[in-house]
Amino acid sequence: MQKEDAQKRVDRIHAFRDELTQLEAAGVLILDGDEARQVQKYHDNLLGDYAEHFDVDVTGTDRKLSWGMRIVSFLGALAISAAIFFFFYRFLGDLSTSLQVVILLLAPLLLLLVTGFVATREKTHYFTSLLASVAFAAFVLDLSVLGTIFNITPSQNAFLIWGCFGLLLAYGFSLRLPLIAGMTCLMGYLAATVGTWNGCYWVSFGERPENFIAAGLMLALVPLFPHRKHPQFAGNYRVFGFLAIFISILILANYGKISYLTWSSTHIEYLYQVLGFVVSAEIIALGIRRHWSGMVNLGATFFVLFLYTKLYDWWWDLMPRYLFFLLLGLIAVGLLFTMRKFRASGREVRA
Amino acid sequence: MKNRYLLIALVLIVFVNGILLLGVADNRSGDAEATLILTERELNFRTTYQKEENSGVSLQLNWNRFPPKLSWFDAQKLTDLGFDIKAIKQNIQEWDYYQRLLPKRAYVVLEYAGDAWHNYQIEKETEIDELKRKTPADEKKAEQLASQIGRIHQDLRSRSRLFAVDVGPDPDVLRQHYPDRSHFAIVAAKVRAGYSNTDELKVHGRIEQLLVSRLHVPLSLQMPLVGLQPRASFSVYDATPGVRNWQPRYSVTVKWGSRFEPWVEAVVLTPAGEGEQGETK
Repeated sequence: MQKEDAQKRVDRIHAFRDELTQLEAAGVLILDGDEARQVQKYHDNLLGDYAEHFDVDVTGTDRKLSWGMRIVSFLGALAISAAIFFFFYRFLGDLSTSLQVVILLLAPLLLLLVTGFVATREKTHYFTSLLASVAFAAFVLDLSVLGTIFNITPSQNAFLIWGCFGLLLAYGFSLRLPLIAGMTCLMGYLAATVGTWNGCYWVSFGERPENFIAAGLMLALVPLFPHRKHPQFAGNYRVFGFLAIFISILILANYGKISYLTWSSTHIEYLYQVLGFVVSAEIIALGIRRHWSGMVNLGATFFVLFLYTKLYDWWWDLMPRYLFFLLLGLIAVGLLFTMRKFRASGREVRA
Repeated sequence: MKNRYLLIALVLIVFVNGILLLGVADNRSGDAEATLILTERELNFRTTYQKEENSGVSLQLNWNRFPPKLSWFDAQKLTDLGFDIKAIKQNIQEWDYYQRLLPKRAYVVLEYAGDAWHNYQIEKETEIDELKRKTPADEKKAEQLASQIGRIHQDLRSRSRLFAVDVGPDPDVLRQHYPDRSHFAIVAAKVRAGYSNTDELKVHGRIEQLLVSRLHVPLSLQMPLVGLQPRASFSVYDATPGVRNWQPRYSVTVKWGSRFEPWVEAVVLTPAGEGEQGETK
């Protein structure tokens, strides 16, 4: 069992207890003394066991504190990474080349070893996450600074290496932050490589958003490989991959000149506008079918974004500002009514 | 963390650093591909507003972008580099088609103090002669004329003598055409295709940037640069004696290796630089 499974079970126990209280109050179901005590005891033992082995959030206060600790861990990782970055740039130039190389190599190695040590002592992984992020930053700095010291020609392979390192940290410690860092680097590598397939020098991969559509699709398909030990990562790959796809489509829907397609800019923009609506609607439908709430939210967000940008194109110059925003608001209200109707009809079908 | 992930991550760090350093050693092993002794004209020592936060010292490689359009970088060169000239010519009437043209990696031949520099000098001296033959209408015009002539003189004294003279996909082929390794360096660059919206609708190439244009100066070679003030920009003619009589303050031996990646081999002060350092001390 993973920590996420244990947390879900804890949440279900609390939900069960709340519902049982409501049922007892309504006189629908009242457990007799022995049954109630057995269930209570069983659940209490489970909660204690999970709290000890997985350090899950047993109470509402625990949950709020956990969120706070995650945010603090993230901010702490950013701050320490920035400190290491600026420290190296400030003092490294005063050292000989050999010493620079040794320090740059040792920094990520030592940070990784410390991260591994701390992970064995800590169930919650807040400090582990912080240290893992700093180890990642140190490795990025390692290769970047070596490249500067030895005047090495830039290569997209650095993104691949950093991406692999991020994934190793993520899968080794079950951490989301290094996973996102790793996915970002891999996205850069894949987009740059796709760009070179079209004959472009890799550094200019950002000039063609379609490179990111291809890269995003590759990442979104990663969950097709079984993730038995890290089921929570599958959702991250999907959302991250489709986020890159949607952003690329949004850019091309407004600026078709930078597409690989050789049609006129206007036709390219029309194509991507239609694609944006179709893909976001499909993602919402897929998310609802598969119970992927992240994908539903992502699809809905970009559906609204595509809609608003289209409305801006049509109406911004045609009417006063207050009227434009009023219409947007009314459309949002209309969408709410429509979605409520869908939800109600879904319940009727199930009934 | 599972031990195997930790082990793989540790091995990855060591392995990648090892490969990188082996590549550096490979680049610098054997005879240098090219060795140029450049001056401050070609290698700028400029500081940035973040100097306090960055203790590293680097020199910016400047090459003379004259003329702005390189007549030798024609459609044939672009074809050799893999650009689709036919597609460009088909769409050339579209005013913003150039935005669709993606850059490619290429190798550029940089000539130091050679024919290209000689031709540049002749052109500028001809400009000076033509300006001197003009008769200014009044004192203000005379000042302007003197200022223009002064600017050109300053340009000849301070501008980089490094010129791009050829481009191609294969550095070995380029080296066969330019065998003098003390005056020609072959460097990697990013190039683009462009076209002129004239009657000829001519397709041409341009060198967008050199892939390695900042050269790190190791600590052991930084001593001559200590105490030197960063070189001010000469974009506007300055009549002060310091600028009018400006001379490069140092020379730098730069080598390029088998991977066409450069490194600084030596930094030596010129008399102008020794004078400035003496004043600072």
